[in-house]
Amino acid sequence: MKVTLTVNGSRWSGDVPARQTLCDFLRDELELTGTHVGCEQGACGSCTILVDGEAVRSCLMLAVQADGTELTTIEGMGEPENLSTLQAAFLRHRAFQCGFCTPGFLASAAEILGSGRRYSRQELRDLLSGNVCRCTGYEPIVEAVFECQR
Amino acid sequence: MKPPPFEYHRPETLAEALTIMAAHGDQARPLAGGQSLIPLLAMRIVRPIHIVDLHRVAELQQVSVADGRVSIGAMARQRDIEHDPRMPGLVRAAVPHIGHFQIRNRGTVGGSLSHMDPAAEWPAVALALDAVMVAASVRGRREITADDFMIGPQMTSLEPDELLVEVVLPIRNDGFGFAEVTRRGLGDFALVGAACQDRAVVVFGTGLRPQRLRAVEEFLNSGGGTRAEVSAVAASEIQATDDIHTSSQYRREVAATLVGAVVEEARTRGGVA
Amino acid sequence: MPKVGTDDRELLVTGRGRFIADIAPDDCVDVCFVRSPLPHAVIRSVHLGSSQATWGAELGLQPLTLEAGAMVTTLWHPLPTERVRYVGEPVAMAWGAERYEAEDLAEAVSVDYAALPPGTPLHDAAPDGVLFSRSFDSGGVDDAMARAHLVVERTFKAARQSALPLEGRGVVADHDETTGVTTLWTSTQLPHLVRRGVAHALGAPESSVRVMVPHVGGGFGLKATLYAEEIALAALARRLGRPVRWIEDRTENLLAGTHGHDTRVSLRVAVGMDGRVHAIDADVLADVGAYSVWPGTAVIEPAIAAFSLFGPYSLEAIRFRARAVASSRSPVGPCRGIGHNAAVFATERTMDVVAAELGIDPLELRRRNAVRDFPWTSPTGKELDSGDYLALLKRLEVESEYQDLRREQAVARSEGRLIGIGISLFNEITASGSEDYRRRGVTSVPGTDAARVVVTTEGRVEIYTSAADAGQGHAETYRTLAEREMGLRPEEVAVIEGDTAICPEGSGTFISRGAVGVVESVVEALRKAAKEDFEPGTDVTHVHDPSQVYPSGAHLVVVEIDPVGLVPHVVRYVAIEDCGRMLDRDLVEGQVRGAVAMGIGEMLLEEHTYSEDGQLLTSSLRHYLPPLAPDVPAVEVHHLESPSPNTALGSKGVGEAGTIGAFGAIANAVADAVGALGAELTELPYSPERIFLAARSKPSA
Repeated sequence: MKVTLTVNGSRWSGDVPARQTLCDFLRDELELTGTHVGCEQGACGSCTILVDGEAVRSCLMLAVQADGTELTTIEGMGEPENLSTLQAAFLRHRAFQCGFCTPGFLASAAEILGSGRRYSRQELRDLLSGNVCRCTGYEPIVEAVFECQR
Repeated sequence: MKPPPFEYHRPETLAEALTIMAAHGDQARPLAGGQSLIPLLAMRIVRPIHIVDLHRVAELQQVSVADGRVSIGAMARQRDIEHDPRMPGLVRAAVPHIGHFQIRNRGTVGGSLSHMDPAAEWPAVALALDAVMVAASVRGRREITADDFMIGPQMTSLEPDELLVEVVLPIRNDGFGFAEVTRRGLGDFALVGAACQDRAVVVFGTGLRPQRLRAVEEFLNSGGGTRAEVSAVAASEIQATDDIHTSSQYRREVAATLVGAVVEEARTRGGVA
Repeated sequence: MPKVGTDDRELLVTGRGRFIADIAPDDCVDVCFVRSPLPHAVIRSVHLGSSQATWGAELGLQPLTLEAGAMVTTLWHPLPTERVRYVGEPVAMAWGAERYEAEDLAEAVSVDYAALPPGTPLHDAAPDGVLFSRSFDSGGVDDAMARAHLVVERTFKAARQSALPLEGRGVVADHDETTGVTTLWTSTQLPHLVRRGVAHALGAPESSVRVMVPHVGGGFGLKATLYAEEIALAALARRLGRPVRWIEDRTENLLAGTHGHDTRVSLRVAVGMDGRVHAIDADVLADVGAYSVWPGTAVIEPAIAAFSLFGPYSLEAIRFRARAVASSRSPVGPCRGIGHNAAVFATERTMDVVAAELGIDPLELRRRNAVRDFPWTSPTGKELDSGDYLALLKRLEVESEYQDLRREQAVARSEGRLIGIGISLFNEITASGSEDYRRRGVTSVPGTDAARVVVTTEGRVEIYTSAADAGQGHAETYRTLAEREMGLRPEEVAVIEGDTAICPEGSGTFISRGAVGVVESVVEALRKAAKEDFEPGTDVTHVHDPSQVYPSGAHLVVVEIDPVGLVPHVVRYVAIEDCGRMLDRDLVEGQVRGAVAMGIGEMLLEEHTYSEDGQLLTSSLRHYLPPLAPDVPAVEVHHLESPSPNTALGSKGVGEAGTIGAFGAIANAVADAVGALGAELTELPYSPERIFLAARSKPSA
């Protein structure tokens, strides 16, 4: 199935098997392994990316459904020498330990912060309830996102 | 967990989609938002030979208002209608409970209704609003009442070649109540829930499909009573089964308590309760 | 890729880490396992269905003999050819260019099973199912019971759970024909022990296996076991002559990754009029699943549970029997807390029952019973190295504003709200040295930790250790140590873990030994290198055999239970922790918060259940429920430091304390909230269903 899409600003065009999930396409075809696979059932949020600016579980999309879309993955959000504001906040607040859930949280947080609204910490906990973290106890993640709200 | 092989179709029009459905019948499954279907594919619980991706069919994404009713295209996303002022108040109360916002970014109204998860919000809301489901096939359109539409988990009265194309709801901005119990906050799946629109009362998460509580409705119609009395009538009417998280006793009793709450909420919101 | 150079944190936060699923050598095939659908059956025949499949009979793997002192000797076949003992046990493998194809080919494998009747013993050597039994009697228990003012008797059950790291297991294996070395990348906490086990199973020398650990997305004990899949992939790589890869999915992780806990503790305690607990008589029964795993064995859960009972309290006499019993369920391995979870649950609940019976405030009861003078030897011979339990309780009282909390609770209760306050006092065993293993009869595990310091020709200091990081911040810790103890600048220091070819042999990372044995080794190795002035060419190794040390803590939890759905919520959590001398306060707090979150999950949400016919009902995250952000409050962490005299820096472990303390404090908080409604809760987790049933049944006499 022929698919054309944009990933982190770069255009890609080619054939994808119909049954390949979007997260597998990103990881195996494009070698963007920063998007992690935690459950393949949409329950953990590790695979969350931005599709046309909206946070989506990439394990719950087929690659073919992404035809014509603009994708942003963790690789497009910042680099070690040029961290995004949120990534720098995550570092400062120690909002990760093993780092496996982090790309998913950053994508979800990107949509939350993109709304421009200022949420309370409690509201942020609710908004972040679609992403599982097993290491941090969530507190430092909430603090990092809270701090980045304008 | 990877999906098994299938043939993928991406129709551009409804007519095209219906032709494909007619050709392949029960070997074809429509793909809407994918939030329910793709996990089933990944676990190979369902093995359709044909997948019909509906996201290019613009006709299915329309929302329109006529004669005091709102018609929601089956492919309208939860996210799109969540704050749409044309939606009945009960819908706007229930949609924020549907999964997490990431799920609502892709999930569709029609997808949720067709999937018929007994703990899902949309089937309960449709039942409480006396929604009309519009099904289409190459043989034409037909209207199905919500109650006739829902059979059980992943079972609807759609024929193998039919697609749900629209759901039609009355526009009501008052007289509603909604409540559900979850274990882990707002977006978590419901253990049990209740919905009320005027004197229509529904419980969900209690059995194989949402249940209209006719005895409760009769009770309300003949004057009603206190919250506790309403709950007592509900408790004697609710047919509950056990599931992995909760027993039938829990589901019946807690749902009955929620019924009392949503009926009271509907009353305080004015309208016909 | 073992971690080298500066912190990996910038890599991880930008998604540039390298986890096992990110490793895909050229020409690699993906493997899918065919797993037993039956709980206990004989394998009659296997039809592979394609040329891209194999099973145990073709791979010629050696079984492992599992023994440990009081444990029955059993055999474990990594890929059984005769008998399967739990649903999910791996039996065959199929492979393809990608996992998609491998799954298609796995479906073509057909195994003919003959189900064995329920009740058929799983292991011939254990006809009654008991794999391990150990009794202990200090003497004096019966006298104490006879003299007691009050005897309290209760049985508690900790649930079967999963450590559930967010990243599942995975293995990449590649065999080099020229060198004869099989390289195994695996998401493990035990690189050297995996090497040992894999080599043994292959019938090959250890030198022919190299284990490398990538970035690991959490372990929590689930990755501290040698797995059949590791052995099978190594064997397949040798057979195929090309790299092979297996990345487990979440169903496999829940089904075939080791489970945790599933321990029942029956207690009888002899109490004086003043609330002093003089003696306990305990029976600990752990359901350890189908096999004893390695290196942990079936011993750790029941034995550690038994030895941890009433840990911080000055008992005079103790008698216990600890047993491990096999069942057709997933094997139980180390799972954050190991044994302490069930022990602290039982102990702390019993303390609150005693407090209620005697009308003594729970905090005061603990004050009266806490060990005061250190070192202190328990009736079981456990030597508590250091601690200040009264200070923990005092600090808890102050930081939580305990008296105010009780007043607020009274007000809330008068309004009909279900508010509960619970506390726990606990200590735990961290680190285990060779003596502990030998005492158990385990000879195949060294029990030591090691560090090697090399100074390169450019003058860079490289620290290699036997540990494996799964997110705890090892590199950061050692660099901080190197700076504090030796004045070395962090940029000058590289940390490498997770490569058996260059890292010194040791136990890996579990039982919170990192801050004990590994840190000790690092410090001693640095000191040795300092004696040589950190000259280029320095290459020194220090092996440390740690003795057990005892961190401790006191927790307080406030729980509110929604009166409609009876859903419990933790609304406040205060943790006073004492892990000896802190190496890095931020890392300590991170561990405590994460461990508390896991404790909340395990106390209120997480549970594995099986159907009547042995099927795991909780093999997806829709049914096995980890805690989410709204479930975990902002934990208030406070620190005390009672340095251990047994370690060079006085540090003790901290990775598990948060979970352990939660098993007492949350249990007591929920009991406090619903106590008035009905019967006691004694089975975990405290789900809405269990609370509902307790509220509907009669209160106990």
